[in-house]
Amino acid sequence: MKPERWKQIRAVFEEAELLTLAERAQYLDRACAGDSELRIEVESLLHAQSQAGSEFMGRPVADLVSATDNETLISSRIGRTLGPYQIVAEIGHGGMGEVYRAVRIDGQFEQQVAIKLVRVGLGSPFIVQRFLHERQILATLNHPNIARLLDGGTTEDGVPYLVMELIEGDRIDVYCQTHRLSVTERLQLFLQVCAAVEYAHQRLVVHRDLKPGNILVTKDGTPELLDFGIAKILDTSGDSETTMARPMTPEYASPEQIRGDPITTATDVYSLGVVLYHLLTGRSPYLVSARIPSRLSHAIIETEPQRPSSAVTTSMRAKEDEAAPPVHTETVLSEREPTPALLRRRLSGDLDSILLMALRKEPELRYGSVQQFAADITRHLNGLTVTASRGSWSYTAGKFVARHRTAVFAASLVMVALVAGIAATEHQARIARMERAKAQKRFDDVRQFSNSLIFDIHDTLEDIPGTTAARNLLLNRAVQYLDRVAKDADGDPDLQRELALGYQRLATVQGDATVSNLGQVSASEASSQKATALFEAVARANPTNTTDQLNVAMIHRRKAISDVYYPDGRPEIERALAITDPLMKTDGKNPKVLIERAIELQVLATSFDLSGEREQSADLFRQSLELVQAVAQLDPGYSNIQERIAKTYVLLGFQLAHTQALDESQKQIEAGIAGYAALIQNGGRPDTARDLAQSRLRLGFVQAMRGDLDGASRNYYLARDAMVPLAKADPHNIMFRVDLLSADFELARLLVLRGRFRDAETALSNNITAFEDMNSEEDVGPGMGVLHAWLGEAQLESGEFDQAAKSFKKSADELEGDVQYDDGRCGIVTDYVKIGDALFKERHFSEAESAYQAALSKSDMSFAKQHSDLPALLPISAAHFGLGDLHFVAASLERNPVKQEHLHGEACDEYFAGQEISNTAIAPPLALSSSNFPAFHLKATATAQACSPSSLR
Amino acid sequence: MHDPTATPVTVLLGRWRSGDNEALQALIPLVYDEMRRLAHRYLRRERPGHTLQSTALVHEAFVRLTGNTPPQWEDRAHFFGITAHLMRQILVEYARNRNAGKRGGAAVKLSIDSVEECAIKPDLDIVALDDALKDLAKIDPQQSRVVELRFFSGLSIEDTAEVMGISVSTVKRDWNTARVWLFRELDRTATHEA
Repeated sequence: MKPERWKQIRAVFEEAELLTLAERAQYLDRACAGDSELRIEVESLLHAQSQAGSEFMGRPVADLVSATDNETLISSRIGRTLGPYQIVAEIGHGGMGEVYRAVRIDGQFEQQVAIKLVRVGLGSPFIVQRFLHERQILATLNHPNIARLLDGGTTEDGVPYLVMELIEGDRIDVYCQTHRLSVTERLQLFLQVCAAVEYAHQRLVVHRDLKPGNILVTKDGTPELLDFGIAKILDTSGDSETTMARPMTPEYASPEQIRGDPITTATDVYSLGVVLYHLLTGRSPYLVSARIPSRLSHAIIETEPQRPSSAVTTSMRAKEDEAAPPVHTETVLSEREPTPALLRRRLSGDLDSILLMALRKEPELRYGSVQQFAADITRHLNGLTVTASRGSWSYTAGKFVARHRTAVFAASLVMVALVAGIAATEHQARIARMERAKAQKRFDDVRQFSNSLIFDIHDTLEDIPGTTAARNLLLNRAVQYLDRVAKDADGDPDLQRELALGYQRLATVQGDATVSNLGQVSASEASSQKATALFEAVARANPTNTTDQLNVAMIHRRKAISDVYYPDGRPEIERALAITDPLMKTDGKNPKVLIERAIELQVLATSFDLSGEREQSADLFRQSLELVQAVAQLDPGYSNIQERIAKTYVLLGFQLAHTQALDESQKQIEAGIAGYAALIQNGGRPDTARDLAQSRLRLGFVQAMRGDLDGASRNYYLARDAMVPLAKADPHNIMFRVDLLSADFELARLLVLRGRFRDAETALSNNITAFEDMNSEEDVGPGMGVLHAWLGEAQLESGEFDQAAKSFKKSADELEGDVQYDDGRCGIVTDYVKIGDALFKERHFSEAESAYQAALSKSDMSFAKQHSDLPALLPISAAHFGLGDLHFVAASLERNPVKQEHLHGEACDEYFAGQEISNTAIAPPLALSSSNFPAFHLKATATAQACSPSSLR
Repeated sequence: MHDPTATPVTVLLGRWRSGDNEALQALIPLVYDEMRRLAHRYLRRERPGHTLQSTALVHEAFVRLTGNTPPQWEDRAHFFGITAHLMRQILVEYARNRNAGKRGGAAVKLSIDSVEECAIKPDLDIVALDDALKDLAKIDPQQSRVVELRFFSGLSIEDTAEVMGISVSTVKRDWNTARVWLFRELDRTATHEA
């Protein structure tokens, strides 16, 4: 867009927005006459304005990126005990955790320790991992110059911690300065540091973050190395460290750390080089400020360090550059080297060569080990020739940069993240507290609550095992917070919206047993009710705001989903539909409206399916498909739209199978599968692979119904092959195990359909045992009712009639809990028919008759007929056939011709009843025989045909 | 400068106020450096309830660089003029890093609703906003600047007017229109990522 055009648009917009709605149209007619594009632009802005409200950008951005809230947890730690230790005070914040001073209180002996805790909230899972890792590593290090690990554990609320030797001392650079150590004394001290690092290297531990702050010198002059926190045992993982937030300190980081290349012991050689450079010159090897990350990273990768000897005398020049690092040559001067000139003489030659050798850009060109580095220093102290060759420092960095040019850019980005690691002091914490007090408390509380506490902290904690208690605490605090603020929220729609979102999220977190298992069901209910009330109030006050309306519709729809198996489900979804109905007219091109409507229709469709209204259900799925397809047309980039379309295809297809439209059913499911496959080809979401596999199970089911057993088998195996790696990757996820067992069940069912009844019996028995072993309280997989029915089927066909009757009875009993749903009722009716068949075969005629009668009494004939409910009609007709068989047999056993004729008549009546019902269903018995309602129909239908009136005479 | 303890920053600010643009060039790296350090410290510490206040941060930077205390300062407006853009860069970088750390971890669940979208989040995609703001700058630099001062530096309408040397009503109008424009641009992006 051209600036002039924008000027024109904004002028009209700014005029229009001051007018009332009624005046607006008139004004726009006039102002935009002959320029419909202008009108569209202005109207879209006006629409945006009504949607934006005062909430959008209502607070400065800094408030939005505000920090997570964990003070409540931390401050409460002071005075608390961890194992035998009591926390006394906070010492400071490190890059990855809080450090406290603590004392041992179990009376054993008096000991002060440092306790380091992972910063909760900031602790993404990998930080915790690293922390736990540190614990292991430190335990293996036992050296007089390395701070010892004493203990470790996890706090009550699941935060891992380390107990370490408390080192009282000065940073090594401060120590050197305050004691005015000579160059020689500094080197001797440094050699002790090298020995400790070398010790760790021999145990394959690289420090990775060596800097003066991590090297303390105690009163008696002993250096102590702290914080092997980011060290990593070299050969366990093998791969390079590629995580984005590499813990290191920019000023002391090596080129390979900046670039993200593999870290080796040479990395510590480099950092030790920088430390020594500082100790000997009072400044950084590079003439840039460490505070400008991009420049520093550039320098570390590209710039040749200045020779130490010349560094101590170029300080005057450096001072003219404001951005240059502080140069404190005075910190290095001593009795032995009282002036820069003398210092320069001391450094030039050996020490220049040694330092530049340690600071080579290429790790392989540095000293091969810390030990070699130290040995060269020792040689220098003993007046021997050093190995660092004098001339080689002049190799240029240019070549290096040429080889790593792309890395340089990436490195400057990394640096930005690094600077962020700078630790803060208590003084700054005080400032922070003062600022907070000044903040507008109410809004901050709410936003903090909803944005940080619930969204960030909870999400972070959720991935960390063992944080349930901490999350519980957080959420409880959050509720109190919200409750307090809500009292003042009357009449402020923006605040109400935020509150509602907060409550809604809280309800989800509290109530979602699969995610969090906090088990706060009633608390969740209460939060949900608050959210609902707020959303409804906002929606009432803003009837034209689509988002507000949709939020209310979503509430009803979600409730409908959870209640879809209960009588409440239907009215809830109808409420939701009543909200989206007018929106479809006023805002029918809004993808959000269309999607909401589509989901609602799917819920309604499910409800219809459950009540046996199969055709209507399929119709609704079809409408829903049209809506999601419309969204893809309007906005192909809409979130997850392709997943939604694929899923809707599958849902529709599967529903069609219940209406016996098997061709179309297969076609739709295949369309869904093609959609999923395309998505996976382009990356896909983590769930897509699972969705695809489950769709294949459904396709196989339909193929089996059609008698295409090979096709079904192929899809079942494809599904299973896709499920195995998912289950392996996440062995604790019960859903993946259910998926696998469900695939196994389908394959076992195929064995029945293929006539391999003995194999099927074994497979189904195993499958039942496996499902029972899972001991799940929820209904998972096909359900015990279905499993036992199919086992009975296999037994019936193998001639084990007694066993079969028992299995079907078990199935019927299991299904009794689902009798209010059509599927459950159909299953029960079928089971009783099958029991009758088994007893009939055992010649227990009167028991068989009661079973058939039971089947009929369990059915709801008039409903099934009225709705052409196929899955219901078939077992009913089967029951009639069974009764017909019984009467036929009875007639042939009867010697009294009058009675015999009467029984024949009854048999025929039953057969005709059965056949009439079958006809209503217009069901090809063959197709059905290979699916839910196996082979008995064939026989029964044939017998019915034989029993024509003429054959009776 | 009446302040006897004038620092390089106060001197440079003085020169800049009197029209010396080179002074501004010299000033920016100094302020940038300090601001970034402070901002990252605030943001990274992730302290409780710690809502980073842009203005407070700028005040602190100002005090640290000039030794002046806020109520008396004369260069306040000019200082804010520099800091707005820096704040924006810092915050966008922060948001970008933050987003990068927030991937993965989806609960697997197959129900009708498994690709459920959440109710519209109040969060703002700062990175996307920054991009949109760049587009706005191309067609309306003044509006873009107002947004920078108001939204990234946290200035009030009045302070913004002072810094930019335009009237309060102009700032109000620019701010409102820019906000609506940005909302429209972001709405689509947000829809895609909901």
